[in-house]
Amino acid sequence: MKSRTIAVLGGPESGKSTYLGAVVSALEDKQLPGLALDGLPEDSRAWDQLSEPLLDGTYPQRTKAERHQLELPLELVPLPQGASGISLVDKPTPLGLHMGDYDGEEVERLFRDRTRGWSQEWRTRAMADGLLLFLRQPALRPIRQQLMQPAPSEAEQWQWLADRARPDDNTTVLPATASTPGPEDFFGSGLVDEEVPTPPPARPGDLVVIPTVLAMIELLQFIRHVRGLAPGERPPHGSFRIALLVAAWDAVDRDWHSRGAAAYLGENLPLLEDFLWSNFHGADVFRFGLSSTGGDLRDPAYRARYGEKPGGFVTWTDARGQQARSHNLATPLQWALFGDRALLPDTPE
Amino acid sequence: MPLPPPLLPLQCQHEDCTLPDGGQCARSSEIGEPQRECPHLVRQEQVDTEYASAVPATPAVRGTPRTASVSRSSGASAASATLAASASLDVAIAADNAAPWSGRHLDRETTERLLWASPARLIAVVGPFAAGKTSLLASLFLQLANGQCRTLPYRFASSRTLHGFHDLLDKVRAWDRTMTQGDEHGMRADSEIVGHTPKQEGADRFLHVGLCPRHNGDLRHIDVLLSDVAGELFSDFTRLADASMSQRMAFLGRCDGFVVVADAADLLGPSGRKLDTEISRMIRRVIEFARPQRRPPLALVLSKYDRVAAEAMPPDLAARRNADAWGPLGTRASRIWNALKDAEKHGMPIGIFPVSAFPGPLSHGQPVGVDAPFAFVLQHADRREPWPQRIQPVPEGASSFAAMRRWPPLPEEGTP
Repeated sequence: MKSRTIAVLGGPESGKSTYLGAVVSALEDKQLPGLALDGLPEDSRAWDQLSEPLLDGTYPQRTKAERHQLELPLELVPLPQGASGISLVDKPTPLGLHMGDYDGEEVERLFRDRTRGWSQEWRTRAMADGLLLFLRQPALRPIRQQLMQPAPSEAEQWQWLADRARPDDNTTVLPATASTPGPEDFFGSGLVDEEVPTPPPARPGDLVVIPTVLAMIELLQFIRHVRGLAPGERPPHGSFRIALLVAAWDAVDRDWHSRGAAAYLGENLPLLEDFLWSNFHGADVFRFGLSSTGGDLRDPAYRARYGEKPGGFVTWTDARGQQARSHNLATPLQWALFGDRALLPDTPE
Repeated sequence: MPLPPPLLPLQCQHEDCTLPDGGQCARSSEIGEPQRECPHLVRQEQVDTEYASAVPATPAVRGTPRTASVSRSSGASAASATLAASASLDVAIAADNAAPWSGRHLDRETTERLLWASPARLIAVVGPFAAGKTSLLASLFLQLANGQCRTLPYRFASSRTLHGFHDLLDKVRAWDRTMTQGDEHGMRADSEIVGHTPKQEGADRFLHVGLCPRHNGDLRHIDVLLSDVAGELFSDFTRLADASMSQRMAFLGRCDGFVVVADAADLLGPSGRKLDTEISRMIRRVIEFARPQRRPPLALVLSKYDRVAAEAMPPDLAARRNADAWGPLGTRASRIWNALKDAEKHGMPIGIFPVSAFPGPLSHGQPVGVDAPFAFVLQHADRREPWPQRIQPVPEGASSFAAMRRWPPLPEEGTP
């Protein structure tokens, strides 16, 4: 049986365990098109620890010391006739999938203390066939309404600072109107490749954000180092895909839902996006919005609904620039293994 | 008798020492240069470069029993062989579980290795004590991290010193908290933003950032090394460039560009004339040590400009080389302007940039002009000459196609 490995990375409280538990539950409920369970692994304790809490309507908890090694004996199956999507295989094909879960704070500890912690387990994880990178960030900034605002000139910025030093004088008001809209405002980008927008120019009085992804970027650098990749060297197409998952997408500001995970990451995590742009081919990085449980299980009303009909969803920007959505939680896994062939929405958003 | 060079990465037997982690020597009050003089540092009598390159660089393992010295020579005695085996085991253990690099500031050896291995650009950030050099570097990284480097035509690609940047940003965060609390009580906090770079660290401190050009067709990865050296060292070097000092500051001769930082507020202050003199001499010292054939660019940064913007609004870009356009600042900094003219005479491109790295609390104070001096320096340091264009003259009366097919006839012998 062909065995593939997917590495799961993410900081603390980034939704890794919940996702793994939701995938196991969905497999047992046969909710994942194109994927089926092919028996039980020898050690299924991780399955219990990750999926049982969801049956009770609670999130999986893990102690700092616990590390779950998830063995998934799977079978890729052709899709039934009439089903939406493209079959990844022509006949049932066994696929062993191995994923590991760990305490997200381990990433922070590894960043701070370089003397230990970069164990053989991490090195093995670095050689995975694909990577699921979980990101979860509170909405630091609302979407800037003036998306096409021109960058203030340096002279305007100095004038703003000078006026700030003279509070009694008339304060310079920087122009707040957007520039003339262009075709992109009406017709969209029209690009096949997912384009991650750069952050809009900051106004003089805007918040200066201190990045929180340095530990994650350092970890990615370590992984590339183990794989023998020099800085700036892009791995061969398809040899190493990275799926970025913005977890708890249901809780993110609704305005982002129409713009997508790529826009969200481009504005909130530009350092990580620049790092990925510089070190990977565009086709080997994809961004998903993920809600493993479809809503907040801490909400009693939603928890009751989840108990009746468990499920989550995944969203992404398709080739037409529209937001696609699927209840197939394995979509990021399938993309990490098979690329764009795995992407076909069930329901356009 | 001088001590042998320390084992790299640094390992110290003193339990209170934080020097291997980028901190301070436990005996810094009595030892001026720990790497040369501290007896607690593990030292290596012979550097076996093949062994060193085979073992990934490991940070120090604290708390592990250490020997006073490690010998890697093949002819070691039985006693030292035991010591070597013990140290090798420690190194092996450290190598097994240690991260590939420490992420701290690069030392001279690592920097030189990087300069040899890749066409790295070395930029010296020069300036006296409290000029704002490290704050400038912290602010540059913040702008890069937030996608706000509008004039810098590069994207972030890598960094071997992310932990070093993280430490700077931690200090910025702490300063921001102080500033915010100060405002609530109606007090203005004049505290340092990132703290002073300790002189004891020496001149071997570099931050690294890898950049990729924004142009889609340019897939290069460019290593940029930025010096983060104590201002007192530059001042000492300006006053006395003897053999010892020149050796310490030897990296200046390798630089692809210079960013000279002068506190604009101090220039207009009571000691402005002295600062003007010091900076002008610093520029002249840099001119001496810069390699003339490289013609490295020199960017003068007038830092903390938010404090003087009200009385000395910076002129337009086209007028910045004219001292008169800077009003009182141009008048006060006359010697600096003269030194810049001398730099131009030596073929060094110059630029003058008003900068405010941290004009206020992070909640409402975007940096101004931070990336411009680095964009200027890299524009010259990363200049790529295009292939010369061969111009084929078209003979009169000949078809263009025929002209393109023919090489120009060789001149006859004896014909000039």
